[in-house]
Amino acid sequence: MKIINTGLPQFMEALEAQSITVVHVDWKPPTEEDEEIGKLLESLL
Amino acid sequence: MVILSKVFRNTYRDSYLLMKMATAIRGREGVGNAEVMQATEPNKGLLSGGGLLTDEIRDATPNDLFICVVAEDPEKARQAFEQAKEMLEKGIALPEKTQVSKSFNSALAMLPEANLALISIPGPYVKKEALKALGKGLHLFIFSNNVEIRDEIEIKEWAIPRGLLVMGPDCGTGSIQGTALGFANKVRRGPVGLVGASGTGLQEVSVLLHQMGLGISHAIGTGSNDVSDAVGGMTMIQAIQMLEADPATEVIVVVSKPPGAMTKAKVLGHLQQCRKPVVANFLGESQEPTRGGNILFTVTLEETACRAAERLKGKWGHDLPTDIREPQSLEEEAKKLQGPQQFLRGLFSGGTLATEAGLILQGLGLPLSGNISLPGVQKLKDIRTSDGHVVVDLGADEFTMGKPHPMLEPEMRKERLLAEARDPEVAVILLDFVLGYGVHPDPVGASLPFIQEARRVARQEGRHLSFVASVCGTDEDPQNKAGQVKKLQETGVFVFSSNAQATRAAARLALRA
Repeated sequence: MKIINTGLPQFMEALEAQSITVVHVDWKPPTEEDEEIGKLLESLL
Repeated sequence: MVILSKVFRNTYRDSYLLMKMATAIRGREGVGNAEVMQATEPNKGLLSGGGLLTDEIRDATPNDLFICVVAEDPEKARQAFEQAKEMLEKGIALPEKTQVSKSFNSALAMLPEANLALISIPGPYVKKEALKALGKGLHLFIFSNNVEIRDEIEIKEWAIPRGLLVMGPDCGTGSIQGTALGFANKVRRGPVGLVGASGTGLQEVSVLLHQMGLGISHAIGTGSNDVSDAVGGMTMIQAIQMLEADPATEVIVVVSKPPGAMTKAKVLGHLQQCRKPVVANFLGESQEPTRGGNILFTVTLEETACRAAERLKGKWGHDLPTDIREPQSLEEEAKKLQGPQQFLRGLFSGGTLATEAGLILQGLGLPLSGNISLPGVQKLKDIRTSDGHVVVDLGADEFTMGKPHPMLEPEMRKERLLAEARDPEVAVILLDFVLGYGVHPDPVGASLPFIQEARRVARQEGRHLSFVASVCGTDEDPQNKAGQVKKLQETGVFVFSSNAQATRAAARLALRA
């Protein structure tokens, strides 16, 4: 298994302890600006 | 009392770190309460309920974080606040070798062969991340709760026709190809395939199979809402079909909270089409073991594991050990209890383990109160105060709002345990200790100080207090199961191989039968 872990770091640590290849996403909630840019991009594509 | 609070704009920290911070601050001398949370509406509601909602916090957004401290005097409040700020700034240091990215897309660029996304972010944001990962062909394990049902349905309706598995939302436990996901044990590989809407249900059946020398192919968690009629068991049905088609699976085991009526009929229909033998446990719905064609229905988790082992046709490993400590010593223990001590108090961290205990105790004729959803179990007038024989799931929402789950922080059981120790009518405390990846590194070690304190409290009032426990784990789990059992036994706790055995032993002590 090869896993992308988004959210709580302890799950990433648990996977690494099992020698599973994992990339951790240091997720943050989108800001209002991010949301507006996202909507703008969607309208263009 | 002094209240000190502040909002930190555009500051996000994961829920686990925030809870650790709040717990650390609450433990300080002179601190009455502390909350450290993202300013979501439910969290603001929590503060409002405690009379702590300031205008600054009311105006904050979920992208903002607040610290709120209630202390005896201004200096204690200030020091507590400063500690919280320091922890906030430090965050949790990730190990150096960890590959970290800022987004799913850049993570996928770093690991293009990724085949599963594990998601544990706040519920309102899950759908977007889930659909992104599914769009790139990844299966999902969604730990997050508070995901709208319509989001869950949309995610599953997208995934299932494309052959992608969605475990969750609100899925705590899974094991795929021997990899533990979420809170899960390291279990020997073998021919039993499990699917369940029940975290500690999957864990207990898996570890019992391991104890019997057997093993599992996979344990597929469906998430707690999957078997509602709204979601219709989409993941459960998909998982049953996968296990039926999987050459490594010879017996299919279903462990589930009671499904919605329509969903149950659909699930049973799919199970009846399986050529492989099936063992199904719907936790409280079947009171008698019965057969339904190829399906054998069971009542307890222990029975589920034993029947699954039997159905392997000659690949039986060995019997489940009946108990770890000599049964005769239970009778010696019973003699130490006084006449008025008649009640059993089950304080559980695993929800399904609490339900199994409730089923067994009801079967033995004990009238029960608590917060488990079984017919005949009375609700307590005050959830925090026991009365009579009681089984409580201390990991349930009503106990864990803004606080860590007891499987992550065993200290969460301390207050209740000490309250039970002060009750002169209590004979025996029944506990579960859940091991595995993702949970506390030393559940027993963290609990022993307050188990010993509880014994002292009872002894000072001239009473002996009995303790009975089970340890849900394997010898391959990171916590060293044998060491955990030994520590309990050295403190005079009776330890049994299964939650079912521990429950029966605790009942014997309470009833002195």
